[in-house]
Amino acid sequence: MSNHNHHDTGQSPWITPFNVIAGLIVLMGIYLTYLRFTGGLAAVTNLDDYYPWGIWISFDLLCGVALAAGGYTTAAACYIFGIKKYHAAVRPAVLTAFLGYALVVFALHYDVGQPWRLAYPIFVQQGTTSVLFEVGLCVFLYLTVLFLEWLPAPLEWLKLKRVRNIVIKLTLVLTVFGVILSTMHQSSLGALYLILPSKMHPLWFSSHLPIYFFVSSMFAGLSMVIFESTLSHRYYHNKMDKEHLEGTPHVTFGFAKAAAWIMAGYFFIKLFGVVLNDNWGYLPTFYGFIFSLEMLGFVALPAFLYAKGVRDKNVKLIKWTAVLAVFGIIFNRFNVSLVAYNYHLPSELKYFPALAEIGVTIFVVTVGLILFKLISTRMPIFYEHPDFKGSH
Amino acid sequence: MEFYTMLEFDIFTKNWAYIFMGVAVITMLGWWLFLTGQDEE
Amino acid sequence: MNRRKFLGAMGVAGLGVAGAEKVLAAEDGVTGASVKDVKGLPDSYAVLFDVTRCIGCRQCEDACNYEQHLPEPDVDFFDTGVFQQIRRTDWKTYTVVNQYDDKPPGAGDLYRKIQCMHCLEPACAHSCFVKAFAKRHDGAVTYDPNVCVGCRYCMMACPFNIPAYEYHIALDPLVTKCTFCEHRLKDDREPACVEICPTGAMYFSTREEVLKEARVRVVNNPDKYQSHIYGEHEMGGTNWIYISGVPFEDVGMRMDLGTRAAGDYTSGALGGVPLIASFWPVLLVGAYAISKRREKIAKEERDSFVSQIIAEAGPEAGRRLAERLSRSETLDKAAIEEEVRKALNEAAAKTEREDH
Ligand code: SF4
Ligand code: SF4
Ligand code: SF4
Repeated sequence: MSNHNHHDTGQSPWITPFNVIAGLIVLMGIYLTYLRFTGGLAAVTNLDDYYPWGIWISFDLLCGVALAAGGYTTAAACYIFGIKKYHAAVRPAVLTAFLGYALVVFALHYDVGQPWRLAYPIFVQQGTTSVLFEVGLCVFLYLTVLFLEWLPAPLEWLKLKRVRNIVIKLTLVLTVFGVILSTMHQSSLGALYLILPSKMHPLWFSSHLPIYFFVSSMFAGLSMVIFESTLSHRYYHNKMDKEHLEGTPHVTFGFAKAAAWIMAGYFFIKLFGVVLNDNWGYLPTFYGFIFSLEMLGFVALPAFLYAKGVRDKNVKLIKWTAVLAVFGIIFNRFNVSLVAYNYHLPSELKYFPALAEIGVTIFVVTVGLILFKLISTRMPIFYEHPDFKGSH
Repeated sequence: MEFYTMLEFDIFTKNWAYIFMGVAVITMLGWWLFLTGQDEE
Repeated sequence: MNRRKFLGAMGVAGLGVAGAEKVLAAEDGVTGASVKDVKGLPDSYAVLFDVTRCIGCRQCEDACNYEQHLPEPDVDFFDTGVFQQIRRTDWKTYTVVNQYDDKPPGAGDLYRKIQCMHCLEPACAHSCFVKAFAKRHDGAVTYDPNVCVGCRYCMMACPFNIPAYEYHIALDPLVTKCTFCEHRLKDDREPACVEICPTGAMYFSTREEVLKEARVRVVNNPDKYQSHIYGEHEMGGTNWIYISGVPFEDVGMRMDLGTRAAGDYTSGALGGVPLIASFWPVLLVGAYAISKRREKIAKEERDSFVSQIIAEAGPEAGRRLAERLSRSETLDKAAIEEEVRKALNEAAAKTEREDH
């Protein structure tokens, strides 16, 4: 607590493995950016007329938004449901969510054909019948909300007490608004696929897709918070204050318990997708294998392991389970958007991402890590600012 | 209103739905403040 | 459906059309007759494509290329080599003729032309978040290049895989697709591809007339045609209508699309959005109020507890206890009770000492 102000002053050298690797990735990203905006999407992606959406949508948008759900779940648990024990987890979660959404929007600038028109749906001509309009509007508003939720950290850092206190007063309103917007767009990401029933494999297509996406975003967010706290404890332990360190086990066990409980419910609503559409016949096929793997290996298994971790007070197990659950979410989003999509096309027409496409995604994630590092080592994220202690 | 397609119907109704969503959220906020305005403490 | 049943149904449907003053689409339930006021577009232009009449000469492709000022094709339009593969529309081809039998390229007799179907309820228009697509009352589904962001959701949504994208263009790529020769429809002229067809494989008229003609052909030649009029109901109905002598799957047309318009599939989910916006505040703020109230009661109990201790054990112990309690907000109940027990013991010990 006492030495957080003089971190990396002098003693940390510039040449660290993180900096070197991140630097190389950023250089690569700049080069790919150049290629993208001189040669078009064809120069860096394998997208074609059958596959207008590739991994920039599957990973950067769908997974990005789902994994940034920790922002609304943590804030809601602390401020709406009044579980004060989670207070120390709110700031890192909000920062991650804010950066996550900012990067989603950043990544979309590569994906859409004319990025300078990205705000057209909001300011020029509103296609209100489109699910994507709803997603766009909510992401735009929620990014603003997250910015405001994160704002106290830089304001405390800049010692702008008056403004900071005004923003703090908005906490509850922002949290409620954030949950509303998150419910809307997390579910709408699933609803995007409702308009193309004939192109989706029946095992993943259901009129309940929006509910699947919303419910899974909850435990995606919770798992991500657990996973992240593992990483930040490894690297930022010295920056954490007593509240943060004491709160962490509460967060780990509480979130693991919540995730296990939600995942059980999710397992069953997904099962009803099979029951209500009579999809049993698809289970013994290749797609059925992928589907069962997702359900058993990436939903049922992590749910069980979370429960076991909670019962045995096994922090390590919970942390590894969080990794599994995060992979499960990624697996699910890829299954919906790339495996189930166009399932009827012959394999030679199917899509596989280009190296450059993966490169841009890695670049975007790296930018996120760099920003997180820059901000959390400078601003009061893992500790309360001494001037503002206990005042929120 | 006259609609020649469902699309026209959807555009018209959804436009108003979005406007009233804004109205609903803002009204709810004001209503809560009004409702709890006289609470002690 | 067997042939006799089909003919019976045709008779009824024929009567329906003959007597229909208004709506084709809305009346037959295709566009959701449950919604009042939706009139449908029976007078919009439509084209009937008769698969049995197409000879695969590709002159329509040529005419389209010329009419729409599209770039030079990779292969000449008279080259039958293209039939070796099944092709689709792309940024420099708005329409494509494919061969669907096993005969050598160009020597077959089973061809079908592909272009935008100009759906009555277009998925592309419903999905576009800047309303770049419009369904005109003359039947054409048109595209406005001045607002398109290039998200390509329209391409995802189109059940017929029609819109294509200019992936090779760096800064201002656009979505491309058949326009129904919109500029010609405005002058009541048939599209270029229809006009040039040497065999009359395409018949251009209003949608109502086109459906009537399709029925006449199918009913009069039951042995020649499949008993299905493709596009009458598919995905809510289209303005390009197909009849065929072989099952439609054999000429690459999906029969499993269903009759619901694409927008119908999302209306449930989109209808839920306003519910969230208006009712989530009720639930969330309600939950907040409950947790606040519980907190308040707990605090009151704690305060009265502390004052009780002050009364029993003196102000010093009480003050320290209150301080620790306020700091222990984040600790749980067990910890608080522990603190209280300690404070009580201390106070008791102290009074005992003073007594001695
Ligand atoms: S066929 Fe596809 S592009 Fe053409 S109107 Fe229908 S949905 Fe739109
Ligand atoms: S690519 Fe253009 S036309 Fe298609 S949905 Fe996006 S903005 Fe609309
Ligand atoms: S209607 Fe016009 S744009 Fe469409 S395929 Fe025919 S010629 Fe081409």
